Order: sequence, then structure tokens, then C-alpha cells
Amino acid sequence: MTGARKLLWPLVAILWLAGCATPVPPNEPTDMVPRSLSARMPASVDVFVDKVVVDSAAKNGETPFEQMTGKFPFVQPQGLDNYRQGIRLTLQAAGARTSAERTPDADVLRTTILGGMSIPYAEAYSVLFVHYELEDGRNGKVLWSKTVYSQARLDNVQNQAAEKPVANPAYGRLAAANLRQMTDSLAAWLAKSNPRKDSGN
Amino acid sequence: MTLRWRLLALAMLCLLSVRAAEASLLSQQYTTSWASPGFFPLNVVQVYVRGVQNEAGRQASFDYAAYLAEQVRQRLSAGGMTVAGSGDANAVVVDVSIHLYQEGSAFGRWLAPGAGASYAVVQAHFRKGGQAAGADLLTVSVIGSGGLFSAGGEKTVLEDAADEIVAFLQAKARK
Repeated sequence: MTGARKLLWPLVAILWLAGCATPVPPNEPTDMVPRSLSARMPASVDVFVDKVVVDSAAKNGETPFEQMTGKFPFVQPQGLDNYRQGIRLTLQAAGARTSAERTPDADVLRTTILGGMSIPYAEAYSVLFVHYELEDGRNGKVLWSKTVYSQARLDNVQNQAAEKPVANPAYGRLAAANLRQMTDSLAAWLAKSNPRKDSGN
Repeated sequence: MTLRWRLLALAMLCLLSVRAAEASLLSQQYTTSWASPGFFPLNVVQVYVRGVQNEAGRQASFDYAAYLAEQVRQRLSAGGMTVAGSGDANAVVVDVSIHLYQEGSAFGRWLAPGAGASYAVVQAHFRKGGQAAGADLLTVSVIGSGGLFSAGGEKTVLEDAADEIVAFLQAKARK
């Protein structure tokens, strides 16, 4: 066996391992905004979008493929911040005001990513499960809550192992699908039973 | 049969045995689930399974939505809970949806790990009769490899999902 051939397999193994260990950069917040939103928020609504947190089970790497590949973008710190910005942009697109700071006039939207993983087989899918809660900014009472599941088919899975990984557009679609459901549900609730409607705020 | 053919047959047998052993050693099967926080009624005794909605929309050699509904009901009864015929105020109503399902095949998994993966993504929504608010559970069950020993995986992934749903209710019933 020549020297070059001897080096081939270790080189292939190193490249493969490097590809597996390379995290995918999180999607930009704008990727997460649904392209068209049917839901319209009442103009009076003012929401402070709180930090997005990851449920402890997901954080501990109990989802096998997330643990193996480290590629799921929403549980990375930058990914969480981008998700929060994605929520703000989506609410704004639906006509809501979003406060930069927490005030008694603004209700607080709390977001917990319960789980997310990729199922990387012949038809690779990614799934995302998120719990949202709207809290009254005046008294901390939970006014509305919704748990949303979304899924997206992954494309270009192999490209993620390239030297310069790019954010998979599927993750943007995954978040957008989740945020659309959340916005639809929240808008429907606000239209019907927003407690601030009667209080003049 | 000549000696040459006998040796060839023996070699094939050895190859198949090694492949089968390798496939079982590389067996990759897991079920993971997440539950939403929030309201849940105490003293779960009666459970009404409204049915299983098939959102995966994929064809299989059997009615996998009906199979999952049957598995959930069987496990609830075996776990000592009453399966109610309607969702009155005393019962916990369970709505199950299959979001993703792939039947897969043990032969495919034997040929190449992952090639014939069986998987199911199932969501269950629990609420007390007459109330809109409740809790959600998502389960992901996958058999990615495992060779011929993983035959029947297309049902195992659904049974695992049923186990998770019933275990969630049983944990609530004990409180």
C-alpha cells in the first residue's frame, strides 16, 4: 500500500468526524417570520417578549440525535436569541406592539422550547415542540397558553457537514410554522377575551 | 453437491450470520417524549380516547391510526383506568394525532442501517371533559437499525408511543 493510500482512510474518518461535530449556525430571525399571516392582533395589544428558555429535558441532551450531532440550532445561545427576535418580528407583522422593556402596560410572552430533534433517515425531518404563555404584566397571572408542534422536511442535510455549514432553510420553516400557529391562536384569543379590552389599555 | 459448492454455501451462511450479528449489535432504537407544563386535573380515573387523527397521511400495510388507538385503550385498561365511552365532565379526554409515520422494513435495516427506518411522531392532547385547556405530550419513536431481529418495528414504534401516553396519565393518576 502506498503512503497516500495509507493516509486516505484516516483522512476520511477525520473529515467525517469534523463534519459531525460542526454545529449548524442558527437561522436569522427574519427567516423565522411566516411569509403571510392571516392573523391580525388588536392594535391595543402590547407584548414584552421575554427570553426564550429551553426545557431541562431538552437541555440535558435527552434527545439522542441532537446529542449526537449537536446540530439542532434553536438550543444554541445565539439560536435562542434569534428565536426571540423571530417572535417579536412575527408579532409586529401581525400588528402588535412589542415593548423593548418590561412594563405593567405590556403583557409578557414566555416561551419554552420543550424539545426538538432531527430524524435523519431517508426522508429527514426536523420537529419542534414549543410552549407559549401570555402573562398579565400587572399581576403575573397566566392569561393564555398554547403548546405548538411543527415539523419541516430537511433538505441538504449533507451540506451541514461541509467546511462552512450554512443554516438549513428547513429550520427557518420549522420556526415559521410554529410561530404562525402561536400567532393565530394568540390573535384569536385576544380578539375574544383580552382583559385589557375593557380596561381601556 | 461438490465440495466447492458446499464451501461456498458455508461461506454465505457465515457472511449472513456475521451481518445479522452486526445488525443486532448496531441496533438503534429509541423513544423520547416531551410534555408541556400547565394545567392538569388530578385523580385521573376515567379516560376517553376520542380517536387517533392521522395527519401523516402515508399509506402502510395496515391501519396504523386504528392500531395506535387500540394499543392506547388496551394499555389504559391494563393499567387499571376506566376507558370511558364519552368525554363527560369526569373523564380525561385524550386526542391523539400522528404527525409522522414511516413503516420501514427490517430487511431494509438489515441491508443498510437507516435504510428501512421505522418511526412515528405522535402528539397527545389531554384535557378534562368540557374544558379547553390541558396538557400536550409529544413522543418520537425510531427504529433506525437492528436488522432482521427488528422485524415488527412498524408496530413497535406505535406501541412505544402508546406506552408513553399511558405512562404520562398513570403518573398523573398517582398524584
